[in-house]
Amino acid sequence: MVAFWQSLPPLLQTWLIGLGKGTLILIWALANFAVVLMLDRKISAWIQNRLGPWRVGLWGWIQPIADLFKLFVKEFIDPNNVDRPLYLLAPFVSFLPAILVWLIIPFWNGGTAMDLDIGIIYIAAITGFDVIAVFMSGWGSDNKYSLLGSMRGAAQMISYEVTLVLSIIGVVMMAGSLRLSDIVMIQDQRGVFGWFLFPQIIGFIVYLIASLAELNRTPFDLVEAESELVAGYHTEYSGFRWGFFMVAEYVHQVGWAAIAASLFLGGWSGPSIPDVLWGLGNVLNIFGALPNPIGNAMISAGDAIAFLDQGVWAAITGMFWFVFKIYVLIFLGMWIRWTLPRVRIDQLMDLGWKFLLPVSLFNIFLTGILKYAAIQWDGLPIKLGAITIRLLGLWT
Amino acid sequence: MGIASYLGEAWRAGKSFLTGMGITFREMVFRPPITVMYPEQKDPNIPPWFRGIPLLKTNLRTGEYKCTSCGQCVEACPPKVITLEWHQDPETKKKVVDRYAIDMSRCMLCNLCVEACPFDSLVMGYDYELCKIHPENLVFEFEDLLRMGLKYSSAEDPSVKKKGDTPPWVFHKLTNATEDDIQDVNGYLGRPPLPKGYEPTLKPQFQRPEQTAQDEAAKKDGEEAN
Repeated sequence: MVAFWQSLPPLLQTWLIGLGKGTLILIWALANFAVVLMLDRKISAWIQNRLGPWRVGLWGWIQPIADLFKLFVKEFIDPNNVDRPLYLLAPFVSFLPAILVWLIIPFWNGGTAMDLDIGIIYIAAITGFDVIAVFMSGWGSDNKYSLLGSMRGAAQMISYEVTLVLSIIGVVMMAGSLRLSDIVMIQDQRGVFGWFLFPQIIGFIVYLIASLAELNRTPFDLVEAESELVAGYHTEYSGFRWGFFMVAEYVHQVGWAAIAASLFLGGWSGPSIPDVLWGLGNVLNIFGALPNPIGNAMISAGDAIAFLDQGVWAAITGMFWFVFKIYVLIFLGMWIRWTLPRVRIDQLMDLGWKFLLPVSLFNIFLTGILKYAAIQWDGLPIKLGAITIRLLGLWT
Repeated sequence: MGIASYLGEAWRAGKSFLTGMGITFREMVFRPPITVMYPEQKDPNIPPWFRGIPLLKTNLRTGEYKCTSCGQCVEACPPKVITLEWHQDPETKKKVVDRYAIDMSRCMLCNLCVEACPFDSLVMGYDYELCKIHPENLVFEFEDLLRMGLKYSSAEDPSVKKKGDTPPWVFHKLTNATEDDIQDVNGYLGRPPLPKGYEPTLKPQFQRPEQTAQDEAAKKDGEEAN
């Protein structure tokens, strides 16, 4: 097998690897789409004291597949005077950035499809694609309401993109790298309380608000605003072409949650299996009051269980923590979505330009000062007897 | 507009945001769903003003139908869905119904036939599962209407001169309103203004937990007293 693989020309190897990674990412994205769509409907139901979809499959969990199948068999309706290339391409252009984001996400230590050293800039560039898709669909539909909707959407997305990128700059300043896997690795070394969530709390909040607006989620879903307006830029789309917009929206949401988890919540870093077992033993023996059965067994086992901390097992635990953090963030987004009412367009622009932008600039300023002070004065140490507290320790 | 008002607005926004998130979290985690799983479960609490289908009553004491073929309902019916055919019994000189049919495919459930009926023969039933595969089966004949109306019928004592009761679509029994209240011009749709101190009885799923607990405690006290 290995010999056969090495006998292939290098160009073909590259292409096959790329194809395999792309397929895996596509499957991953679509599986997540089904889960997130269902979670959205279930959480909305629970918040509104309902049950949600219940009939298809166990507790209704096969409902998204039934929905997608229904969209798949529906008729495509082409309005008369559409700009056909734009009209047909727009759903796929909208789907593309949602998928491309996943290329640079580190799933576990070293588990990245494409470890770009300009990861953050890549994210900012990919986000621009989405605006183009929105405007393509609005312009191509030959419908003045679609065009108005797409202009509304483009205005919103462009104004929040600025804030979004500026809110990440603080993290980049602290990590000293644009590479996403480096940022996660640094957080892994800093430990749980060193995750950039804590020193960069302002950046995290700004990122959360701006990414909700960027994803067109409630309270910023003015682009679609299904209860007030017609769907906006995708009014003229039907069947699976419309479904592509929906898939893109949800996959995008998972992608943004993954970026947030990598930047602020330490990505794949988390306790490994031996750590968890050790901690469990400490709880079982009441923090040292009794002998630690699991810990003793682990010490006597020695190198025999060392494999749990590396290789495939490390990848599995990393993936577990990463997915866990993603879904915590997605849950937070849905919780916000079903709590807050929609904002007006002027409130949206006010929030974006008059509040979030100054705050994110202030965050960059503050991060610079604190980091400089922490390095210059060694974290401003205060000695209390034998203990030394470093006030700015988080920012070193 | 100084920096203080700017920060104050942000503070208030964050505070109200957290309050709202707390409320939705409480609803999500601690409140049970109020969904009635319809085909398996049915909500027994149909309100008294519910209008399902007009049905004919029987006097259970004599076993005769109460309809006198006066034709008031036919006249009152806006979409003209009631068909009435009758002949006169030569011995008793009373009208006998030959055919009384309601076309439920066109009935708009407006309740006007029930209001028009001078002999309290028609009633709006609570039955709502009336689907048929063929629309011609939606014409309910005399026998169907009488059979379905049996559960709304009662044995009536002819010696008691019956006083006209407030019809169920007036919120009479809920509010204990008198005739004077019902005549009140400020009421709307036959509904009198609610008296002071009136508390609607909520279905259990809409009640607050403490209220349910109080109800149960009161019930227990009553049982112990008995």
